[in-house]
Amino acid sequence: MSPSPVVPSKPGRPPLSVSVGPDEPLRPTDVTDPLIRADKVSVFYGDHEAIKKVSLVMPRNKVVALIGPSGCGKSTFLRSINRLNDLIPGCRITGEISIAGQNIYAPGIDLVSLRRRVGLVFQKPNPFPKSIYDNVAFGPRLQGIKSRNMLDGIVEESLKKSALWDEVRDRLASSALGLSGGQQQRLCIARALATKPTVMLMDEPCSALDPIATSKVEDLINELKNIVTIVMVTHNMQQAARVSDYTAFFYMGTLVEYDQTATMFTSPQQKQTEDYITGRFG
Amino acid sequence: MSHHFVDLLEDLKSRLARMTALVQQIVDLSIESVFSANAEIAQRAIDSDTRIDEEEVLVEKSAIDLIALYQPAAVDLRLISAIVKANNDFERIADCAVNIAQRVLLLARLEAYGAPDDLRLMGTSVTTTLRETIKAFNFQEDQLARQVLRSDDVVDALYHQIVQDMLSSMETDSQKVNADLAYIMIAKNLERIADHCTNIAENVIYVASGKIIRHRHAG
Repeated sequence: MSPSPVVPSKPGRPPLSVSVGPDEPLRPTDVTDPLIRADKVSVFYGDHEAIKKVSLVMPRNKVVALIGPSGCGKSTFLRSINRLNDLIPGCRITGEISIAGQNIYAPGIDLVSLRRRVGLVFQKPNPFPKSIYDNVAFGPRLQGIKSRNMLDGIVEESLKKSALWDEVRDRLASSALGLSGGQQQRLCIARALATKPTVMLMDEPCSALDPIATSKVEDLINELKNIVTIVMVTHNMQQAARVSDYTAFFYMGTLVEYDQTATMFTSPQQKQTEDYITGRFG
Repeated sequence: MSHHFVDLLEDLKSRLARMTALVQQIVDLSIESVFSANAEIAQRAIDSDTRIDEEEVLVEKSAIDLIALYQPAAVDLRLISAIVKANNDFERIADCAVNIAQRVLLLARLEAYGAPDDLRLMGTSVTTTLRETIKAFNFQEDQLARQVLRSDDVVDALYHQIVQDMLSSMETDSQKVNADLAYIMIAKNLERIADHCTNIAENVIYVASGKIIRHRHAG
């Protein structure tokens, strides 16, 4: 099926120009190194089709923002990238999502391994009620790493990558619950980084943080894209504009438009995107 | 975006529309002063520039406030950015009108000598172009803006013709050098007005299409 939108283009404008062919997923023209590919992905909660045949290609080492009004399916789509929807009773998915060429919905896929490669950071920081050290070492320990030296190295490296090391290096044995909200969120990012993921999913990672903590996490996202591909759901338009390289606009389960963020925020092709970005609806 | 933002954006557009009416008026006055050789009208044109300068500052301030407070995007961002740029062009058009009027004051002190016919044609053409530019901008009519872009070639051709004619006139009659030079400067300012109209028209097309067509004139 063609990924053409269900909404009409503005008068005098071409239809979506980022598709490379009638049966190809949406792909901004400058994407040369694709990592994640969704082909005709539909997600059902019982009889309700929450995502409708979404096809798109996401590039490696870039930040992709998923935007759209509440209930548009962006978080459902995000969670389908590490099969977290599998845990929801009555949820089923059709189509295919592949990461680095591997269909993650193929039979026999090891879900633990998948979620190690595709980390997830939630809206609200959710550190384990353990020490800072044990939070970060949790994943590697599950992977079977027991060497203290090796764990020390992973913990330090992950905390440095999440820009938290300098703030916690002297209190690694303290409870993670004693950290501020912003620090807790960066700890959760460090915990996800400890398993060396290739993709990091973020579901409104700053919505519970104050502006200073938000700024730190945004700076961190900008740094992290050198080592991971980031897919982020956000309701904050300015954040999507500041942080992401590409933006995908969802509406009522359909991918309406997907393009470079600068283009999406200055000259979107679809009237529905423009109406949403300018706050005319949603 | 909130209704409040939409209302403020409408206020900004209205403020610029009021300024464009003043700009049309100053250009009309200055051109009229050339062909009626009327120093009094020229002086009225010069005096009216102060208000345009004040309006320009107010438009810019309102636009910057909107950007700072509402972080507009997409068509709103394109429109506000176009307003900031057009505001500058309109103010420069008024400055050109003042330059023309000042030349008329100079001509009034010289021996009577009628303006060349091509300058009259140029004045009419620039007046029409400015009127269409203002309409295209205030109503965001991109087809009319494209028409403005095409009309610039006519003004350019007339300007070059006038310069040639005035240079020939200077060679044959040295008594008329000061007047000929004044007419060249008037033609130059009319040509600049048309150039500013072109810039404004390009911004109308940017608002409508999101495409920057500057430096590669659309037909």
